[in-house]
Amino acid sequence: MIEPILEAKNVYKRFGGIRAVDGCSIAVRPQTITGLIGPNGAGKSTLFGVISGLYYPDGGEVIFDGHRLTGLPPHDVVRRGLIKTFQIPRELRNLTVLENLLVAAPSTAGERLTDLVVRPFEIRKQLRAAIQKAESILSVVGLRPLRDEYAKNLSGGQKKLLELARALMAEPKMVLLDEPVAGVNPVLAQKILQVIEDLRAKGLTFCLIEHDMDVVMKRCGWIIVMHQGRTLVEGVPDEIRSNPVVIESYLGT
Amino acid sequence: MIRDSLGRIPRWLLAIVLLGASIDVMTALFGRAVLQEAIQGIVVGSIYVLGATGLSLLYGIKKFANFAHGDMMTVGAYVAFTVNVLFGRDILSAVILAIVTVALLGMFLELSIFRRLEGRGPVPALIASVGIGLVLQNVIGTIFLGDVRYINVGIPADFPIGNTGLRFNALRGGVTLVVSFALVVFLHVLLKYTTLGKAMRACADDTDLARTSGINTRNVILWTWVISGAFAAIAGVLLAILVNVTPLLGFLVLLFIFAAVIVGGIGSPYGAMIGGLIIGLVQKLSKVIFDVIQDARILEGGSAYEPAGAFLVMILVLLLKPEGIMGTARERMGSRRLQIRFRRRKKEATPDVP
Amino acid sequence: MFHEFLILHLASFVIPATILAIFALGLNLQFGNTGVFNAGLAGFVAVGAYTFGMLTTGLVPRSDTYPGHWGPGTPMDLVLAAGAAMVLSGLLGVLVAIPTLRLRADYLAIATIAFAELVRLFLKEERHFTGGDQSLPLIPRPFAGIVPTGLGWASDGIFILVVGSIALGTLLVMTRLSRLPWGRALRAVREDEEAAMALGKNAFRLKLTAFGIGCAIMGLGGALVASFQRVVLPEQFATLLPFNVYVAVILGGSGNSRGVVLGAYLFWLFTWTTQNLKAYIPSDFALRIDFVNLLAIGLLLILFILFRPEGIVPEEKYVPRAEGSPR
Repeated sequence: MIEPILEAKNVYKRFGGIRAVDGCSIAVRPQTITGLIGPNGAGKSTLFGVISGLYYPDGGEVIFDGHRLTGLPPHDVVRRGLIKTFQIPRELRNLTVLENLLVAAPSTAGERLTDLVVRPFEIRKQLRAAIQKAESILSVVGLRPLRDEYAKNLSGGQKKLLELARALMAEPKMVLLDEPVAGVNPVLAQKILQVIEDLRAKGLTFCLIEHDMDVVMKRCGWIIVMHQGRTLVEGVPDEIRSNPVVIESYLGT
Repeated sequence: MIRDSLGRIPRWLLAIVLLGASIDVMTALFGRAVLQEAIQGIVVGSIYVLGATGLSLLYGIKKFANFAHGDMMTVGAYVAFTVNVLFGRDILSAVILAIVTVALLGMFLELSIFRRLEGRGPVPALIASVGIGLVLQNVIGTIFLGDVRYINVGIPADFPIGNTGLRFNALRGGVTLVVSFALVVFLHVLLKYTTLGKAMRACADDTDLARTSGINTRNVILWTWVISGAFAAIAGVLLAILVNVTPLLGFLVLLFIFAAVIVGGIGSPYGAMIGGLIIGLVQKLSKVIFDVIQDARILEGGSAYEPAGAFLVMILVLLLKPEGIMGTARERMGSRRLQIRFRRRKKEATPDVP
Repeated sequence: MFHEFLILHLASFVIPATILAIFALGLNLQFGNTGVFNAGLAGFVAVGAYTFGMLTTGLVPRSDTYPGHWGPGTPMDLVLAAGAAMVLSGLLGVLVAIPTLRLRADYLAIATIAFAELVRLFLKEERHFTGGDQSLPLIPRPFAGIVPTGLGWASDGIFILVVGSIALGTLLVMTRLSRLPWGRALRAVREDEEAAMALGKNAFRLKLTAFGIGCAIMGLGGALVASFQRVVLPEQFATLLPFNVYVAVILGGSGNSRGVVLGAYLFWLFTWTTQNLKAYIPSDFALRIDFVNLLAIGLLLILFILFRPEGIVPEEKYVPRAEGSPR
């Protein structure tokens, strides 16, 4: 039995009177692409938000790679190796595409002011390395020609690519993707999904929220279905596809 | 159990009761001067109520802090001054013209400037309003220079209240209270019972939803500027009667009006009403406390610290309950440690999370 | 004779403009780079000015003509006092920032203005501590040994050099800082704080550090004001100062260090010209010209915010030279 890399145990999150996440538990195994599906309002994005530190949970635990993540702020979560993208891309508008990635680079020299005194020569060196790495990631997703373009000038699809590229720049162990191909043209979507699969083969773990069932069934090794803030059922795509409970949850809401 | 029944009492009532209780305690400790200051506090507070309600209505719908609001009050005061003193008309026509001028000014600002700044966040509109405030102040200064003027209306002598030894001025105090109260009632009726009022509340809640529901948000916004401007003009005239007429008249009270809005709950006109009274009272009552501090030789300045009392209350509210008295708490991003501390306490009190 | 006239006039332009440029650099770090709307900068400037003034003049006891002010037994060296002014302003900035940084921009503006007001009230009311309304007098100029009277064209000339080099140094430091990854992290926080946090940046600590450093710079500027004017008053920091600095930053180029310096000089050129024009125009206009000046500036602010919010010199775009070497 493989140890899960990410576990959420009995998570609760309330907004005002609404229980968005209502005692939800999930487990994700390493080096997989796990799908998180469910009707609108099931609490998927909220769960991602709690896991990534965007929201402070009202109850429950989050454990990642042996570390307790419960209640940690987002920047601490990222430092532990878990990163999340936003459903609607949140590009840093007045920074260039390259800078967007450089921001995501894990602890480079020059980020703490003390580096100026303690290790001034590292700054230039690490920055050069970071730029090279950023350029290679941009090449992989096809954004290299737009390296010096302001992020606000990108098209919708390009901004989605930027979200993914930024997440990868942070050298995570696991990525939470919130609808990575929604609204993206099919050719580009396939490219993105192939990139994800290639990275999975190299050791990354992915968990993605998606509404496109073709994508989910084809690309995910494991699927978790959420409904009304809780896990409904989970299994391999074939099991989920024909499960009447799942179908009813989608029709019922 | 006590917490349960406390939860049923409306917040504004609780605030008033607490306020009354504090005044009682202070009178017991410090004597009759407290009551005299309290009266002054309510009078000044009524003016803050008018200014703050206008500001709050505008904030609720346009989502920015109008730093020109104080200067719009000044414009109202100067229009009234011009009509009343320079043209010799009666005060009523002066006030009406002031209202019309500031209301039109508000509409003009919306159409020419603020409409273009929509969607750029709260900061550009704030900066623009600072610029507008400066322009208004200095147009007035260019025309009238900085000399101190007075509204031409006979100020009766203060009359003593029974044999309590307290004094009250029928014009400065009485008219201010009556006018403010009347306008508060008017606004309440408007918001609760008229179509426009309901539309205003809907827009303040969620502008996009209101628009898609068929409400003409453009018109509602213009009407909000009209009402905000009218209230500002009246507040300006009342302030001019209370004090005097100078180009900086409104600007000097702007910070107090912001304090009132924040304490009451930004975006809530009812909150602004409560906030205005609270700030006015705190401002005047703190004089007594600061005098005591002065006597105890802890600080040197005494009653001159009166603004400090109001600002300290505002800062406290900003730190502990930034949504104010009538606001609703929302998920706050920063200062998670503070969040966590409150969360733990809440968990023990209401165990509805298994 | 001519050189005296020239230097005195030059000083009356260059010195306030350069000090304003220093303030603008501090505000640029807070607002231009990080997006923190510090509207209470007057408070930090005043603290710097009074700290410098009190430390360099030493304790002055109460007398018939002067309420007296607190200070060390022996007057402190000017450089040390300036350093103390920076440290105190910076620490105060951090203290104010800790509870207020989580507020949204407009709330933060109001909170910081309230803070500045409290500072002004304190400086004015605690008369035996600060000299109150009577203005703390006789603050020394640097290199007073050369010009003992501390007045006149020679002293002003020296001061131009001093303030110019400090400003240049500040400009160089600020430019370097903004080109570091640290500067980029600040801009990320400015653009979208939640997104920056989701990318691993500790937004709170970044904002706090930027705020503290910015306030320290303002404290330094305050010390320079104190030394230049040789007196400080509580009132001078209240009304127009924060506004002047914001105009310099927004008109000059929010986010660009050189831009805000340019903005400071342009703004002061306008105001200085207006002030000097007063002697040459009919008295009717002369009375009004200060108001007209401010009116024009208010209009400029509105126009810039509407049509050119990036300022005259926009933020420089980061484009590394080929080979991936940083700029």
